Amino acid sequence: MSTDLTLQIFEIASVVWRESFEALLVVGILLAWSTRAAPEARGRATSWILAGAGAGLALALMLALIMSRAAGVLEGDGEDILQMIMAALAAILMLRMVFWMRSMDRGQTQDLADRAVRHAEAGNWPGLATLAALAVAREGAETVVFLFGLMAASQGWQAGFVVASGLSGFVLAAISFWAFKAGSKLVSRTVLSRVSEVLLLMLGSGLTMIVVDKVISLGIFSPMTGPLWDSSGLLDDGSGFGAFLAGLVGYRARPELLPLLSLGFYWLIASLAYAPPLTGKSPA
Amino acid sequence: MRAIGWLMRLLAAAVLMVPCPTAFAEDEDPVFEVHFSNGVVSPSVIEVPANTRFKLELHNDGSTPIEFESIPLRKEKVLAPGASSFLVFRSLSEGNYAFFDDFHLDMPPATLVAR
Repeated sequence: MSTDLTLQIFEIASVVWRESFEALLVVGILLAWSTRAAPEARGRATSWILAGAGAGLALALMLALIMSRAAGVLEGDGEDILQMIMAALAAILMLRMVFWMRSMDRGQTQDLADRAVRHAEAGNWPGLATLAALAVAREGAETVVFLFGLMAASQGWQAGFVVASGLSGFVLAAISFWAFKAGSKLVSRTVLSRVSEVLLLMLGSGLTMIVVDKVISLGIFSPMTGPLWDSSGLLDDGSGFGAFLAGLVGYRARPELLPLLSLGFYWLIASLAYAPPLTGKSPA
Repeated sequence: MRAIGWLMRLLAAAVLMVPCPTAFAEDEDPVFEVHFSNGVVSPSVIEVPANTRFKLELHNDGSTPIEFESIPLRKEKVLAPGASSFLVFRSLSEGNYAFFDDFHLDMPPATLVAR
């Protein structure tokens, strides 16, 4: 019995950790980077991001309620369409964020343009908040259904046990979150920017793949070809590390042409952030 | 930044196109059922027609939540205990597609066989 209980605690905690990992990573990157890159706007950035995360949590609760009650709206294609829109918006915001980070970095070395750039780009705070909200809402809804479903099905002390296990999952996620924040203080600003950009771009890549999956799933476009190769023998996208990579960066063991083209297009746009500016002036 | 503006417009156009194919969702599609119960998937092998539209009804009969997940099928769906829902598939090519319950990873995956 007691080994069974430990196993259950571990399982519940690991699901909660897995489901909240990506959202916390995004919020962690945004918080860590914005406090370092724009110290004078630190309070404002933090409150925008936290407000976004809060709104995301509210949205997650709402989605979870719709999923478990009036499931009609989110049955069949409904959920695919919603997921596609949220993932597309998040992927675009990730790219925009990286472009913004790059322009802030360039502004740093050009003192003259510095202030102007900051002012012009001040309008990006809502973007930051939206990014945090989308990250929390996308992953949060599933966590809420999972935890509430478990609680609804258990009685008395068991419900408390579910809550405790779920909390330990959040604590696990929070530890990863604080590890990231603490680590961010140890490295130089440039390193932090680079790491944040690369992480955001990889997450954006995973989001792009979700969009492609939904687009194909909804029949908007065909995958163009059958699978072009099969690397599932090398790294299976359905289990273990392969599944982790599949969710986070969009790894597919048997990709068709459309997903490959879309990823190529995504990384082409991403690489524009690193192309040297064509003219001498800072990008508008 | 201009490139992103274009990308956004492209995606907006794609989103606007969505209602068209879904508007034809009729109840005439063949329906297949799969039941989940605390990690046990039954039947564990489901035969479906290839290159045809069909519905897959998911029922969670267990006392714990489940998540239907499959990367090759491009689908994921969370179900609370006692809940039911469905997924719509359009033209699957022939082949075997593994799917699993992401909330019960210790259980073996099941397979959708398209013929």
